[in-house]
Amino acid sequence: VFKGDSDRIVITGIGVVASNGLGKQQVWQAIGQGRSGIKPVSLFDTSVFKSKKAAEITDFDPAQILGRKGLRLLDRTTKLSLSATKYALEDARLEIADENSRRTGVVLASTMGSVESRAGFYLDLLGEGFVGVNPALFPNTVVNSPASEIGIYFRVRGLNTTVSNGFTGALDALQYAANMIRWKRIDTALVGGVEALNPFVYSAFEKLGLLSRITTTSKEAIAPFDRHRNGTVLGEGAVMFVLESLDAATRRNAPVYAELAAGKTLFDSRSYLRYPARGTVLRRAIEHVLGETHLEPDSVDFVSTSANGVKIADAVESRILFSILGRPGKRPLVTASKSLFGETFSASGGFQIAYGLFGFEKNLVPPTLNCEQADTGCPVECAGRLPASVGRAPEASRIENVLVTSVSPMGYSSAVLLKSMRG
Amino acid sequence: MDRRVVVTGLGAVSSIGIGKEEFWRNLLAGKSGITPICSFDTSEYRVKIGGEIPGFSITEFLPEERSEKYGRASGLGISASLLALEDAHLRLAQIQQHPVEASSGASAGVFVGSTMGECQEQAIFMRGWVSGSYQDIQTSTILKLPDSFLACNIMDALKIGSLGSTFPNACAAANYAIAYGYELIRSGQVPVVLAGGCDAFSEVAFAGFGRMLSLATDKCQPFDKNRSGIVVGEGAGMLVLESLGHAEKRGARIYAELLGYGMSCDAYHMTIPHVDGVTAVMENALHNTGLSPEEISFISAHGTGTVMNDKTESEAIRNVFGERAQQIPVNAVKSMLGHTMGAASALSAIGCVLSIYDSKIPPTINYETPDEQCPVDCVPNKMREQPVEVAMNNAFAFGGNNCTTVFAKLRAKR
Repeated sequence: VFKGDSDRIVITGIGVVASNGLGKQQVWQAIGQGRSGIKPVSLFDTSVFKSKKAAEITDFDPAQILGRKGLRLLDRTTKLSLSATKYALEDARLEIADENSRRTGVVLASTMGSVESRAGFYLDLLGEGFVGVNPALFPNTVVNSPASEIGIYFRVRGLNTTVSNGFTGALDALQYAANMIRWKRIDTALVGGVEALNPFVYSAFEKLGLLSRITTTSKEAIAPFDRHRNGTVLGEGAVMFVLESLDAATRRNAPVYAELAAGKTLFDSRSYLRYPARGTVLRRAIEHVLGETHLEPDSVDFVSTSANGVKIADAVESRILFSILGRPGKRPLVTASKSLFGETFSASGGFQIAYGLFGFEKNLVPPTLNCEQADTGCPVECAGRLPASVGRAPEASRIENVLVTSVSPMGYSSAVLLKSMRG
Repeated sequence: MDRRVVVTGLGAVSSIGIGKEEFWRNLLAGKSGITPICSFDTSEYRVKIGGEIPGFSITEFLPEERSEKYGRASGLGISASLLALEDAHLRLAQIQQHPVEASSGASAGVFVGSTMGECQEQAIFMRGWVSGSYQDIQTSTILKLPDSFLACNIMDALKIGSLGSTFPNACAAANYAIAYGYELIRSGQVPVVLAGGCDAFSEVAFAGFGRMLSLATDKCQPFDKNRSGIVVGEGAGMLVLESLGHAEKRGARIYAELLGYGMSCDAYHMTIPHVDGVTAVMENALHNTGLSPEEISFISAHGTGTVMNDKTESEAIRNVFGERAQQIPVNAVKSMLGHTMGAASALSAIGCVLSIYDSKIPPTINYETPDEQCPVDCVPNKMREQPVEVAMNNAFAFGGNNCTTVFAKLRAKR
């Protein structure tokens, strides 16, 4: 199928607010140095929990990024979203004005985005009764409020969609936005994912046995593909991208990071509320994006995985990757952004994409931390295990194709293919 | 294969009826589903009424051992989905998840909108939190909480769907789900979609709207001069959408064609609608479907019964339709159902589809005093027998998230 430049969707801006840096420059530096944002939680008391750490954003001052005005009633999720969007617009050198406002859309992934506000509202109701709740905080209880506030703050009038799909959310939002551009519903999308840290989600993750904690053999960390990995560490953050057609990017002479060449998310009820033992739909999603882009498995330079340190999660993802991309004696080269950014749930796909963009820009495979003793059950080559440990040069002279994969216990699995726009 | 999108199955779970027949009969009869609230204690509240479905239990649709893991909102959605598939005479086996060996082509999609997600289970979780019995909270409760589970639970319960998404776009959410389902069929990614929305009765929404002074105390009166607000409701509506080719091939009954949709964002205020955004969403719907304003024969209004919404919507209708605005019937089914939040635009979509199929338009009940700020023909109090060629289904949400879907009689050529 011939794809014209108006059908090719490219990323022209990125805005990141993460536990290890605010804005692309800081975050790129953290990635380059292999610096994780995981630290003891300060936002809430962890004494009732066995786990104590999170990838928390401790130095976040939204007023410094956005100015003081209009922030008073906004919740943390929304302030993270607005900040990341501001960074992304600046990075893409894009201004939303009357001419393009109606042709620009916001697509945001969030699943737990309203949890803290909804919980707070309900707690006030239980504690103070009806007269005790603040009506001005009521709008924060709906999950589409961060995206809507982006629309209001930056005057984006085209469309405004929130996607709640859990772990694969940001990758789904990107596909939704790319589709909407391809189908000419909008020309430009501000798209990404956000989740904020709070004790409610933290407790839920711990209850489900997903969180890492100190044991005799393990520290509390995300140790992807490592023999002693024992769970994940929750994180928070927002990643926003500017997405447009190659045509539009060329017309406005915008810098292009990468092409979003293909994407697929599939649901399988056999992997619902449990990690998929066989990874069937992840396989199908990967095969779909490789087929769509006519790429041989060997052309994938590295995989930006969703590995989060959960025993079965990393095993399933690496086995599927090996079966498609590997061969005897050659394990696929992978990396795991969550070892730096924590498990940011609906935002995590955004960090995985950011890893891809870093790879293209620096021509380095970004690092995986804490993968010290490779698990034989995870047949992948992990970038972080090399002596340099903070990224490595690819085997090919230039990184051209990055596969992004996500496997989850919520039924959905995703694959997205990013292509370099060099040359 | 013809990829025009048609509606072939309808599933309604509402305060005025469960199942398409009962729902439609009572909608035409102007029956109110508003009753005293019983899902929580209202003694502290000024307002005591809501649009609950007291008799609803998912176990009438799915045995307890298979349904106990789902919260109420999912239960409503699953039931509406089963009803819709049954109505479409679509056997589950025909659209079950593809076997392993199949290509990456998807067999069906499930798209669901919601405002408050599993609010009643979230309330249980929070009460556990407050009472300090955090350790006693069951993982089975936790596994009901995330908003993302609504689409997943329908796919899980019915073992259908390989493409899915939950859209939490508040009070317009179901239209977002229907719109994306339309796009995926039209673009050939999937032949069959279940799309709609569901919401369980939410105390947070009730208290929030109450504190915003947006709740009516005795009845919902859209477009009436003395309208005093919304009545919170609950429910679910699911529609079976198919490509025309797929529907014809299996000899399905076709209710109507889904011609397309429009979206817009006010980019103005979280809770106050703006006439520009509301005008734009209808204009975009016309633009996307290639229709002229003259071709619209009926509008199912967002019509919440708040002072601001109905005034803004009437003004926007005037902007789009000009002098013809007062000749188009504009009804508000929220007068009967209350505001069913994420389900609202799905239940009104079902109303649109049946209006086209049955040539009858349900009334806006409780209409007593005309308001010069709402100069629309709201089909007051009595249904009307009238052919409907093209129906527009408006939905506006918190954050100025607007989406309008457009349904029409199936014609050989359009």
